[in-house]
Amino acid sequence: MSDDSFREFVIARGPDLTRMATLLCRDRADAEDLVQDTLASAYAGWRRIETTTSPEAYVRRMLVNRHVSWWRRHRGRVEPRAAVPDTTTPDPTEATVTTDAVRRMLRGLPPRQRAAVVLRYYADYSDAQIAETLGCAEATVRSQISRALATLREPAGMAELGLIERTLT
Amino acid sequence: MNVEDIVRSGLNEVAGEAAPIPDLYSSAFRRGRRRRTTRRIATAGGVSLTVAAIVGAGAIMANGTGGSGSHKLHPLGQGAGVQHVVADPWWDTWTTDRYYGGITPAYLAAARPTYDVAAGPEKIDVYAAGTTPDGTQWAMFTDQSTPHVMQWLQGWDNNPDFGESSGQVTPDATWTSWTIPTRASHDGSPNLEEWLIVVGRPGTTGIDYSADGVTWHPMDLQHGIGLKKLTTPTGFPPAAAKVRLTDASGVYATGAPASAGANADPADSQTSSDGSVSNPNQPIATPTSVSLTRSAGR
Repeated sequence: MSDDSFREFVIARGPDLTRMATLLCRDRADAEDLVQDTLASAYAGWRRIETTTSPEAYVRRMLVNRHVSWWRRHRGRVEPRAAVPDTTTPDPTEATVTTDAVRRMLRGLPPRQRAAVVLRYYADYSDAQIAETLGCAEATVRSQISRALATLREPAGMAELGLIERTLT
Repeated sequence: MNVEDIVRSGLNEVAGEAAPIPDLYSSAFRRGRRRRTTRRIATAGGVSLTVAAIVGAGAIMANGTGGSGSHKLHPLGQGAGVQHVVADPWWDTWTTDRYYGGITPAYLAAARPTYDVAAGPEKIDVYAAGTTPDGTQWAMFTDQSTPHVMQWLQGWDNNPDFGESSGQVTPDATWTSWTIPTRASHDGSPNLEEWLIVVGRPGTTGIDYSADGVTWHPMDLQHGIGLKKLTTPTGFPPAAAKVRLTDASGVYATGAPASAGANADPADSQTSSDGSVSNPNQPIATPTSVSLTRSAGR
């Protein structure tokens, strides 16, 4: 066990894992829990993980799988919502409008679809990499992403996207 | 700009707003060390720990998180074993392998979560499980990655219901599974509604809950398992809370502060006071108390 190498890993990769968790989870608190829990598990198995080809990819995969498992087990108390109630003062900047809309869209997707979308469009993973991460077939990855995009193209999603397009163009 | 470009841009903007987690390394190191210790002990002993000083409890007890759905437990099988346990908040003191009416290995195998595909399904420590006469299966367990979080899972035909097939289950069991935070894992989030689940021993006829240790309120008792939704500032019973379990012979367990270990830090308390590791399969004396003492934190 190398505590030093684990420390270096957390310092170097922690921020990226936090960003990933933020995209996967519904709120900041869940994202922090997810990252901390994942890293705690990674520490417990660090001797094995640090010898892998890419510890970062390995831990990222742990994070995604943990997220999906969490969602399954939390479903009794957390239900997807079409819209998230405003809890903060709206920020008039375009970036905030964009990010709020993206957050709402992500929250409307089932966890596996959300994970697939995040891995594809944020992490730039290939179908094969996503399939390996999620433990499914590449065809399943393609169908998950296709369904997610189809959802986003539905009227409610398009309304959000229209909002985004107006702010970006 | 097409949908994919918009999603890509939006994801990067959202990710860019994520603030760093303070003291991430410290918290991960502390929690990881706890898990590593637990794994080593479990591996060495082949069993989970029991702290003898706290095993005089009469109920398996945990806070269940669940804010919606109806709650119904089916009749429990009349297993011959004596139900023991658990003195939450000491997640490292719980005893395992208490079975009510039997449980199939296939069900428990299916309940194992997989967080790390390469490592395979997690090893789980089952604290209580059973099969009801109508075939409903349930289990209360932790997994090795998150040993401080009690999980409650119900299912049928050896298939745990993770909440994804509610339309196919029996009408009486529309609720399914929860992850159950213990005091060792609870983050102190305010104003949570959580389910307190108390599994009495076979033949239990009444389970009462008292927030202050003085005024008693009956829990919803369904065949030996007590359920009560708690709405407290922290979501957990107050430190003075107690439970009282009754069967045909009268009160057989009353919650009271644990006589030992109450001031220990669960994060550092992996062994009993004398350092011994006991076998959870070994019968335990008739319970006399249930600990509800609050822990110091996660």
